[in-house]
Amino acid sequence: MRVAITGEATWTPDGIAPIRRFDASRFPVRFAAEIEAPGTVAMGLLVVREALGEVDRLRAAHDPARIGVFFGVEPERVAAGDWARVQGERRAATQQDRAPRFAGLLPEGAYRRRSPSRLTDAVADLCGARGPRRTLAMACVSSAAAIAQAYLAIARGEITAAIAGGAAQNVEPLLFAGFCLLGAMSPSGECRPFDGARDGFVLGDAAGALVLEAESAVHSGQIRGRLLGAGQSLDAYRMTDPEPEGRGAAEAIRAALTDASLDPRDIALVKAHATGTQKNDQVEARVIDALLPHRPPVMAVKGAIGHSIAASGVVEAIAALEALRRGFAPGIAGLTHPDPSLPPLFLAPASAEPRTIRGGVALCNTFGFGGINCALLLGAP
Amino acid sequence: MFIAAVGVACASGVGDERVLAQPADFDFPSLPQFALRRVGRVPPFDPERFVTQRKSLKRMNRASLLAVAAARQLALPDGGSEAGLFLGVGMSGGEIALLAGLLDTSRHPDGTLDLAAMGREGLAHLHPLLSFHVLNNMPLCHVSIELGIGGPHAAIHAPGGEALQAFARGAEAVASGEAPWALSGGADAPLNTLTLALTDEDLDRPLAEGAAVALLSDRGAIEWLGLSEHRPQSIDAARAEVLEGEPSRWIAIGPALAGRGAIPLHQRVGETLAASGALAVALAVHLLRSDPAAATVGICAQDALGTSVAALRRAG
Repeated sequence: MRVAITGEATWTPDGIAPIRRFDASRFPVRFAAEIEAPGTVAMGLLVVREALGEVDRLRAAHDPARIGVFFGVEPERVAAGDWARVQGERRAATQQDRAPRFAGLLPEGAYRRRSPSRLTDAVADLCGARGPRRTLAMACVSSAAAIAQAYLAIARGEITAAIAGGAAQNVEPLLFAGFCLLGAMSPSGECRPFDGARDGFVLGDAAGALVLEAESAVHSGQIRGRLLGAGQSLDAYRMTDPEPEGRGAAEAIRAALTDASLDPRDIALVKAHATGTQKNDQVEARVIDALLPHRPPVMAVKGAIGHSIAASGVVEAIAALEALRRGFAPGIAGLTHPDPSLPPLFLAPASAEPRTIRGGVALCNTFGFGGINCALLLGAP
Repeated sequence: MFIAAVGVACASGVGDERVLAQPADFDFPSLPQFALRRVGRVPPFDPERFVTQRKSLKRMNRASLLAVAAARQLALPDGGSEAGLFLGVGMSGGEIALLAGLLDTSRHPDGTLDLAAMGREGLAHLHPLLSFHVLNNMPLCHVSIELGIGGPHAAIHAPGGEALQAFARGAEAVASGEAPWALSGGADAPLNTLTLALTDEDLDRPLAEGAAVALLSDRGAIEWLGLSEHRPQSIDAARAEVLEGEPSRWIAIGPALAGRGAIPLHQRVGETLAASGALAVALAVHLLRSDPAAATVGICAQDALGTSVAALRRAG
């Protein structure tokens, strides 16, 4: 069953700026790509409404039991202030030699409110979907994996339509502190994918959604793009580093090509994961160079909108789809001097002339902490 | 699709599904933060038995360790690099001890957070491995690394019975040829200060940690018949999608099935949150192997949104 993309929407930050959401003035990193929004559920619902156009559209065209909802979302972070209250009670109990009393310390229902499946359920309720609901909590790969699962469910005939995407509001003190400690974020506040001076990513917020339908159920005028294949793999290597030769990443790309019955030379555009960290960009460049020697243009968007973790897969896939439709690859924000130690890819800074895309297939890479890899193949309408 | 073997780590013990025959001890006395509760803790075991490198234990949160311990019970076929891995995961990661130094140096005298102090001094007291402990997909990554599983995968958020989705997805992956075999399961470890504080208001059963991981392949003694995921719907409508007629035994995740004589999962293993679906499958396998009258087992998960039903049967 061929899978058509019939709707899409993103909510991305205006750019990278000093953090406004909390006082980061004493943190070693002070920049982020923020969106002012009342949480991930609101962000997710907004993009779903926009992607659908009319919320009843899918229900009118499909059996509701065959409409699925697949979202990549992380649990709502426990507010740093709540952690502080719990720790305060823990310390007081120790000093007073008593058991801690947590009852009433945190807002009622706080555990349930953290659940990422709230967004999946809310989307299903909004559009009347009664088919499978899956919430993928897979860090950076979450929403790409959600798209892959939705694609597979339609391609195998399990369902005929799906809404897939992700939403993330990441810029909060404790997550930020954890990434500061890992040294993965750019102290300069500039994400420079594949640049010789790259020094990490910039954390961001974002949301995105795709409407996917069995191509046999739509008319050609509705098709905004196609999902041609998906591949997933695990490095099974180390928690801290990607496998140096990129074997896991390469396997995900090969699996997607096999799934789509395509040849590597069919790939006309690569949307790289490109976090702007030393090791990740090095491994990804090696994989792209080895698998795609015909050197299709490579685009990367984290230099413009930051790294939205769970939402990055979907918003970046939509950027790649738009590039396919326009027929040219945008330059890479943050890139000024490509790292000469990396294999030679077809890169271009944002200031360069747009590169023409010669073909209709885009490879979208999404890789995650702990060695999780997902490759999606998108087709032009 | 068949379940060839199951590994379990729960309040009843660590081993294969037979540990579920042993009663769980929910009166765990020795941890002060549990003084007011009955909780289900996995009996003490040597974690070094289950990992390839001792240093990897430092990066493992409790749910990851339990998932690895359960998966280690399985004798795996060759071909792990292409095998599937599908786990239900929770949101209970993160011992407050990892944050204690940061929080203690970043609090105003009135208990509120001082972000300037956090940036100035607190970060130096933050546990360097925090991120490895709080990300929810860590059990998936650790099982992959420890057992060399490299194929299709998913970490499915599973606060209730949703770990059953991990079995449905694993069965699909094997049936379609996407993977030669797959591990499906779930893990959660909510017995930490923050989760206890967050769940303090509304649990009427013992909160418990646990994990179960099953080997799914094209042969085995127990047949996985499927999962009905359409919601909302009645129990009978859901059951009819995966099984003709009533099963010999019902297992209930969440509210008991009135009038059907279901075994409430939480009475056996406690409220194991994201591990519930996987432990229910392990209990089903145990019943099918040990009870001659149990030819089929239905698992029913009910929540505010509706009902889902999975079914298994003894293979002919």
